[in-house]
Amino acid sequence: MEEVALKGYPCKYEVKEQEFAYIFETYYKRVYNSIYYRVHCQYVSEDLTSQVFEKIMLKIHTYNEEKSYFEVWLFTIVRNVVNDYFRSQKKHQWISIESILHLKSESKEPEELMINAEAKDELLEAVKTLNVDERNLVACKFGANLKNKEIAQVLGISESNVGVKLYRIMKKLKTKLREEV
Amino acid sequence: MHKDNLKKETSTETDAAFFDLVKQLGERDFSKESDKEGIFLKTLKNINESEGEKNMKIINRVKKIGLAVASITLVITIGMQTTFAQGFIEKIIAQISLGHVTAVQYENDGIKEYPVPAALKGKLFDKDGKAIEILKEEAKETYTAQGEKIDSFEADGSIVTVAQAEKSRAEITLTVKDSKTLSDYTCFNVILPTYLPQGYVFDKAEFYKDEKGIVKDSKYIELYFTNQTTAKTIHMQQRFADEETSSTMGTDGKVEKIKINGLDAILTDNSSLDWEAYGNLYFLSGSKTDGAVGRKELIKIAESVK
Repeated sequence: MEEVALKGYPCKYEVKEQEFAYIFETYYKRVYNSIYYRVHCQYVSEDLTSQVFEKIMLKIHTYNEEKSYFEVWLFTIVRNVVNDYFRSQKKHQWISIESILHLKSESKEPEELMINAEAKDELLEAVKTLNVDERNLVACKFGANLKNKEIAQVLGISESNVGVKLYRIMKKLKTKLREEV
Repeated sequence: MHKDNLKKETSTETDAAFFDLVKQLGERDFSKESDKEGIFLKTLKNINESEGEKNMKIINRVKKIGLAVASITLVITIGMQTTFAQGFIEKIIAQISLGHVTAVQYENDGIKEYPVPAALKGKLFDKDGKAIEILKEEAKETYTAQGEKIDSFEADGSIVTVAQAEKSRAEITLTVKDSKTLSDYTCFNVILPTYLPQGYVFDKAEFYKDEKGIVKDSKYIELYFTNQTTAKTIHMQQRFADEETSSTMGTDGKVEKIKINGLDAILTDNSSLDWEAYGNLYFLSGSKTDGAVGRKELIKIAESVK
């Protein structure tokens, strides 16, 4: 109706939307993958990813450059959102992860299910056998693509500890994969 | 480059010892199968609905209306990436790009009126002094409690009266009445249309002052052609085509690709035209003529710019 709608200085709300679009576009893949490494379910990952970005945008004014890197701040939010999710799962145990997985499966075509089943790889199965802390590390390292130094800050452990733990995890995974072969 | 990457990957002991595994884990992209756009939309909706931001959506709507009321078409925007965000918010029906000018047509949300946002409540009145509670898409004149005519308002409660707008406009712009000297102020050659609908004559040109308050080699010129009997105005903007002056406009009116002297042009809502010629961008609007200057006349005026 009005051709000038987007001309002129962007008002602060537009900036906010642009800002959101920018952050979403930049971090979507890493946020999603790091969540997926922890929950192993598309449905839950999508839901939690949305929650993470909502939190980020509502809290972005609290981010303090001097205190931490933006990515550390961001992935700390990711960690907390996933932790909260698991905590709520404990409280409501009748909604098991399995049932959600099942729910998700129903929406898929049989053919897709077949492909999914085939694609289920041993590596991912091996990751699933890791404990919560270990999966958290895998998520930070390979999903979020963070440096060890950053992982240390997100998880609140020392950098050398991150290195040692990752080494153990890798060893564990390798053993597991060998077992399966 | 390749070497550097390798170096990076083998930077820690772990990475080195489990190179294959690290590579496999790192390359996994689960997000490929996810519904990215759906998540974007859902999140945006949630943000909009969240406490503190709940007025965001309505603010945008009001802004559109607010701008319909506003008469200033300052095109100082530049290279804004708005289309990206907007594209997710509303469904894009059509998009036309001429290089430096892009028009995007969004789906009309069908909503024709909106309640006055909280920050503006009790501040907007009609010409009879009655408080306005519902804003309609067909913009009506609004007044302050003191009966001053309002030029524009924002959803945050700020109001600019016509008098204030004129004052600040006078401060930031230079008005020139002599149509022969226009090109002295611009970095390009200003071409006036040789055809104008009956009754319309060149009224004035406006230039934006730079930081020093002067106008030299300006990339913009605003032209106004006024009908001497009806006082309605045809607005034209010419700007030197480059990255700075390129623009994207959003509208829920119809956008159409037509030809002006054999060149591509965008006709928006049958009330304005954008086209590029001679290295310049031309914008011509009849939206302030109450439909008196529509599609046919606009094309005729545009074709006479040569």
